[in-house]
Amino acid sequence: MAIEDQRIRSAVRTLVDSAPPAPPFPIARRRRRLVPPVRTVLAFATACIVGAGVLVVQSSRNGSHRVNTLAIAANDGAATGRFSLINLDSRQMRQVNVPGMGSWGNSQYPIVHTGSRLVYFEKSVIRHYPPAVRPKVYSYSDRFRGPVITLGRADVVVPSARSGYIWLVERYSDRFDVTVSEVSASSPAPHPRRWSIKGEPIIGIDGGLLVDVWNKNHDEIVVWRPDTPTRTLLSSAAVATTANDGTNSYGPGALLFGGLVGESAVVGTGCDQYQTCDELKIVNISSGEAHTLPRPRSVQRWVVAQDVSRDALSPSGKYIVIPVKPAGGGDFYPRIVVDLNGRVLRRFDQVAASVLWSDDGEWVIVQRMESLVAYRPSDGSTKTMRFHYNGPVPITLPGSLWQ
Amino acid sequence: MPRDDDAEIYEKHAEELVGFATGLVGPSDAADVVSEAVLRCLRSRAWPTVREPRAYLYRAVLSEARQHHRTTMRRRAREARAASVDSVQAVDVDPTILDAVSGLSIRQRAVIVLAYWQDLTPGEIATMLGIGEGSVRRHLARARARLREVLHGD
Repeated sequence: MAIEDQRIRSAVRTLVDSAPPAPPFPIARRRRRLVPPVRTVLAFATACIVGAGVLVVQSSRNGSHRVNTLAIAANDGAATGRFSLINLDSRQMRQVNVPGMGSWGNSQYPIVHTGSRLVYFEKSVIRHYPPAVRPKVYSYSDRFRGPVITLGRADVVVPSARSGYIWLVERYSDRFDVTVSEVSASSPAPHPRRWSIKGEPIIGIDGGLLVDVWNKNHDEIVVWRPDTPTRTLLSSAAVATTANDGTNSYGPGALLFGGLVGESAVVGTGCDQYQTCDELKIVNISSGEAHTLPRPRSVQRWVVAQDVSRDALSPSGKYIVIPVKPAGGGDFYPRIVVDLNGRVLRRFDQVAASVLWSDDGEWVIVQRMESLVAYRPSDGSTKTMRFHYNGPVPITLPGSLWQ
Repeated sequence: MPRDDDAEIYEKHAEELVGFATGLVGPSDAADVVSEAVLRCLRSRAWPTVREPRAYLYRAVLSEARQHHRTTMRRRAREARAASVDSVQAVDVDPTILDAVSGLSIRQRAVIVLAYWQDLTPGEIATMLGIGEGSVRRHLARARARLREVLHGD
């Protein structure tokens, strides 16, 4: 009996020892009201009147906990164009078709939501590399109905600051410059104006683009606007890359872009070839003023990888969610949510894909292997939905689109 | 009004609450359960007058875990109708232990965790969870029998 008790004790302690770190103190913003809110009273009255019908009444307390966001997740690497549209409030999921959508490969922006349109690349069979022609760029209604519009051909698409527009980027194998054009996603002009610019466009800003420009000595992020001289926002020595044979080469990557909200751009500086950075700066693209985010003690380096950190800054500009290299090792690049003073509000281990902000900017959407977790930094509340990981969650959409 | 020492109370008990929640729902969901339970406490009208916040928080975590368990069971049943789904915990824990614990009710888990992890007597567990001592002894006996059966079988 004593030996069996010992086994139970050992099993219980093993289980409890696997406990995660305690979450930060959650802030209670709203207290339960003594008088039922008008919406609840009206809903109850309606339920009484309807009587025999089936009516779902959602109380205002649940209403205050709404995520108001849909996540669109790839089903099978986008090979079929079928996606899971996930309602994080009702925890429902349905399949939607995005016609003609192809695999996004290493594209920085696999699918862009602009205005009321989704913009993505065509599904094409590449018989040889580089392909003979650039792939077509399609646009489709975010209501998942109606015709597909062809916007043109491009190698890369970059979100525009103008709602309903997208930048098309054409690269050349033998030249360092690229050709860019900004087109409407719903009614593209047949011959849009095109500009040749030097460097790699990162994201659209008011009237132009942020562009990464580099040579063997420098890596720079510049502000490009048509018909005005480019302005350097940040500059750094080029990053050294060590090859297997021990030789060094120098190229871009010392400055890594982590997201843009309004005029504030998140940029990792002092980055190495593994895309981990010494510092994380929030730079005002108009004034050039930079705020360096204090690094928490638990963080050794910031990870500003292109495919996981493009949505670092919250739409409110108050929080940052980003993968980090933890001090003292541990989990492989956990994601942390920090405020602008570098205070860690939440740490997520075992994250399977990119972490995104909800469309209304209130919630962080985290995808784990077996669940989607929505976390609201303003009060520490969470919502979890069971969802088996089967690909990245490329975008979030407004919850009002759930029809 | 919230208590002035809310954050202090939370900091003092956060670790043990997460440990307790881990015993109830496993490591993957423990932090979420604790967050929700604490938020529920802070929003409740009774919270400012609570004399034993530690016990109150433990009960809140237990209640949240039961809610979580019910929701999970419903969801799994729904999913099982469509396809078979394997349960996977993101954190490495001996599957035998998880299997053993998953066979217990949430209240049995709570009693077992408090008895074997915190070394509380049935009387202390009864006070902590706000239930009778007789109930604690009954839950403990049934949980022990179930665990012995499962752990002995491997």
